[in-house]
Amino acid sequence: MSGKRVIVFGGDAAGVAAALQQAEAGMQVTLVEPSPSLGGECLPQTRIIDGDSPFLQPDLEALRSHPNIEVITNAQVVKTKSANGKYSFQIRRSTPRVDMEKCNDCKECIRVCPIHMYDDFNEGVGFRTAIDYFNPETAKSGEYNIFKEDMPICQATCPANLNIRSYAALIADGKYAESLAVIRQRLPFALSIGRVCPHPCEDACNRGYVDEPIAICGLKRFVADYEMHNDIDPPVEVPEQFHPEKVAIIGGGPAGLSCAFFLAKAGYKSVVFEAMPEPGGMFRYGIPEYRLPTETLMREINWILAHGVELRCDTRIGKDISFDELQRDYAAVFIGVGAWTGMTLRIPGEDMEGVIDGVRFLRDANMGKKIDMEGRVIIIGGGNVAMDAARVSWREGFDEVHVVYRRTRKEMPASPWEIDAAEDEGVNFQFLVAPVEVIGKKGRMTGLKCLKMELGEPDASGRRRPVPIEGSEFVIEAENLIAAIGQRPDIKFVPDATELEITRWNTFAVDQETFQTNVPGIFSAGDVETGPDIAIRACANGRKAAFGIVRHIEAKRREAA
Amino acid sequence: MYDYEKKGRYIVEFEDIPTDRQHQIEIEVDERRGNYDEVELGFDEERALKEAKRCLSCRRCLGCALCWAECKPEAIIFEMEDEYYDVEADAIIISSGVERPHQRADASLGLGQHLNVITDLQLARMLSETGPSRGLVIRPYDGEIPASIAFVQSYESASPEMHAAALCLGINEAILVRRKLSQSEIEIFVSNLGDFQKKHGAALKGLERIEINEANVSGVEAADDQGLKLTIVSNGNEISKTFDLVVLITQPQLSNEVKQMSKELDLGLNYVNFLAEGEGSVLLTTDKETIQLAAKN
Repeated sequence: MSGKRVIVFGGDAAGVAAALQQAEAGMQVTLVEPSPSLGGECLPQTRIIDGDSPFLQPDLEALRSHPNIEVITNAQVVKTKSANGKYSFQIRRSTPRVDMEKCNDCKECIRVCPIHMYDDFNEGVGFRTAIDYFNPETAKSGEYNIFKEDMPICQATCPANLNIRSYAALIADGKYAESLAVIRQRLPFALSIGRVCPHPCEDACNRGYVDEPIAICGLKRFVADYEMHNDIDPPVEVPEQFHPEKVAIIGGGPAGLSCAFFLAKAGYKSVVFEAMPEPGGMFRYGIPEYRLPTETLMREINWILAHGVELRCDTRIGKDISFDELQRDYAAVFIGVGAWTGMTLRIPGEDMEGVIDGVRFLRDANMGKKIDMEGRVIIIGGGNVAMDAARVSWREGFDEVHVVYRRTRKEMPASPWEIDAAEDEGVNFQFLVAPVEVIGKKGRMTGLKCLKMELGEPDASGRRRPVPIEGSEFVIEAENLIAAIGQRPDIKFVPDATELEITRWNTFAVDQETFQTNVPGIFSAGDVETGPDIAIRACANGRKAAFGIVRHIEAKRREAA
Repeated sequence: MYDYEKKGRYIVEFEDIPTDRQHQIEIEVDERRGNYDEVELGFDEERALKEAKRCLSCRRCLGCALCWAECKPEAIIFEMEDEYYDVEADAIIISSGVERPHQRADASLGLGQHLNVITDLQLARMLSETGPSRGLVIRPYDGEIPASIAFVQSYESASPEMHAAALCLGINEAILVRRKLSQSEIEIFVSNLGDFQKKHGAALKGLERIEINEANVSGVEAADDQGLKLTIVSNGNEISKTFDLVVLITQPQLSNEVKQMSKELDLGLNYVNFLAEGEGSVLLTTDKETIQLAAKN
C-alpha cells in the first residue's frame, strides 16, 4: 500500500473519475460528498453531444468495490488545517436516520410521509417527501434518508442562525413580544440589524422559487420598532448572581457588545473599552444616520448595558490603558476593534488636499462634524461604503456626486437597493472607469484623471477583470475625492510581545468554534477577525466568542480548584 | 365556487394571504436632501402581518413517526447520530464543479412569475429518465407536451469560458428535446455567438431543425392559453413571438463551498479551471502542487 493519502471533495462525474484514477495509482483515497449519495448524471458543458449516451455517467460500481477508496456521503467539512504540506480535516457525516442494513426498499415510508416539500434534488420541479431516497439510478436500492435538518434554509444561511420561521410565525399570530424574544435569544440588535442587514437569508428563502422571498429583515425590524414605538420597556433578564471573574472587551461595536450581552446572560460582567466618544462602532460611526438613527441605536445599546455591562468611552488601548494591564486584571480579553483603516488608491496626487478615505468621511459625518468640503465630489468604489459615502455627500449638498467604478453595475458588491436609492437621489454613476491620477493646483485637487476600461478575462474572484482601453484618458473635474475601496483592521495597539497570530489580511487567526486566538484567554471576533464583513456576522461571532470565554473561565476555575 | 385560478407556481391563493411581497414605507427623494432623516420607515402592522403570513414555514421531518410505524424491517432510527471522521491527506483534489443560481436570472424573463418558464437545470432533470417526469418534457402548468420551446440566455454577460459552457449545456438540451419531441419547434436566443460558432461550427451544422438566433430577449409576458410572448430584439428590430415553454440558459459560477475552501487553504483559485476540454475528468494543478482540481468536461 502506498503511503500517500488523497482526499477528493465532490462526488460528481469528475470527482468520481479522479478518485478512481488516484486509487488505481495506489493512493489511499477518501471521497467526500455533501449530498446523501454520489452525484448522478450530467450533461457535457464543453462539447456538443452526439451519439446515444448524452449524459455523463460516473462509474459508481467500480468506486464502491475499490479497496483503496472510502466514501463519506452527507458530509461537510467542519475543520481544516494545513501544516508542513499535510492537510487534516474533520468531517461530519449527517445522520441519514435510516439503517440501510435493515431497509428493504419497500417505499412504504415515502407513501405515508405527510411532509411534501419542493424537490430540491430535481431543482424544485415537483415535490418530494421528508423521508426520501436519493438518486435511484446510481444506487442498487435507493439510499434512504430522513431530511430532518437542524434548521430551515433561512436560519441555516443567517450567520447568527436566527430562528426566522418561529419569529415570522409569531408575527403572523400577532405575538410581537414573543417574536422579539425569539430574536433576542441569539441577537441583541434587532432594531439595528433590522435596518442595516443585507439579509442573505432572503436570497436563500424558498419562497423565492415561487414569487418573491419573505421580507425577513423588515419583519425583524417591525417587532423591534413595535416595542420602541409603543414605549414598551424591553425585558432585562440576567442571573441573580454574577460570577467573580470579569472580562475586558476592546471595542464597543456589534461584536463587542454582542459578546458582552451574552456574557451577562451567562452571569459574567464585562467592561467595554471604546476608543471613540460614543459606543456602537461601525453601527454608530460607519452607517449613516438616514439608515440607522443614533437615537434608535442608543436605545438598543442602553438596554444591553443595563444587563450589567460597564462602558468606558474615549479609552484607547495602548494609550489610555495598556494591553498588558487588561491581560493582567481580567479573566479574559475580547478584541473586537473592527476594520477602520481605509485602503489607499496608490495613485499619484493622492496626498492632495480634498482627498479623504470613505470610512473617515462617514465617521466625520456621523459625528456631526461640519464637512469642510464643497463643490463636486468623486467617490471611488462599488461597495456599500461607497454607496453610503455617495448618499451622505448628496445630503451634504455637493453640487455633483459621481461614483466611479472600474467594472459595471452588475459586478458592484453593494446591495442593489442601495445602488438604486443612490441613483434615485441623483448620484451620477460612471462605470468601467478607473482612476489614474489626482490632478490639482498648489496641492489642492481640481480633478481626477481616469482611464476607460473594458471587461476582459475573469480574475480569481470570478468577476471579469477590467482592462484599460489605450488612449482613453479623460478628466473628471471635481474638488473632492472619497476613496472607498476597502478597509483593513488597525491592530497596532497589541504589543509585539503577546505573539498573537496575525493573518496576511491583518486579522487575528482564531479557532472558529471558541473564537480564541492562539494565546489562551485572548478572544477575537467581528471585522478584526473576518476582515470587512456584514454586521450580523460580527454579532453572531461575538456571541460565539462569549460562549468560548465562558468555557475558558470555567476550565480555569476547575484547574484552580 | 371552487374554480380558483392557479397563478403562482403550486401556490393556491387564500384571500387573507397576499402573494406579493410587502414593501417598506419610505420618505420621498425630495424630502431627503440636506438632512439625515431615516429614509426607510419599516412596515406598519398591517403590512407586517401580511408579510409574515407569506412565510411557507419550510420544514423537513416533523418527527411524526408515521414512517417509523409503517417500516416493517424497523430500519428507521430517529436517534441515529452524526458521525465524525478525522481525515489526513497529503494531497487534495477539489471537484465540485460550477453551480447556476437561479436568482441570477434576469427578472424580466418571468422565472417564478410564469409556470412555463423554467431553468436549464430544471429541464436537465426533466430530460433525465430518473427525473420528476421520467424523461418526459412537459409544460409545468398543465403537463401538456410543448409545441414550441424557446431557450433564452438569462444573463447579460459572463466570462468567455462560462458563456461557452452555458451555451453548450443549452444546445445539448435542445438536441435532447429534439430527439424526444420530433414535431416541436425549437429556437435558441443568445448573444455573442461569434467565438462559440468558430469553435463548435462543425457540430452546430449537424443540428436538426434547431434555430440559433443571435438576439436578446427583453421580456416574457403571459399570452393566451398559458403561452408566453417573447419580446425579441435583433439588430435593432423588435419582434414578438409566442412559445409554449421557455427555458432560461443560466450563468455558471464557482460554488461558494469551493471559494470558501480556496480561502481556507490559501489557494488562489481561478474558476475557469473548472471547465476543461476532453473526455472524462481532467486534473489541473493549482499554484499549490498538492492541490488539484478535477475539471468537468
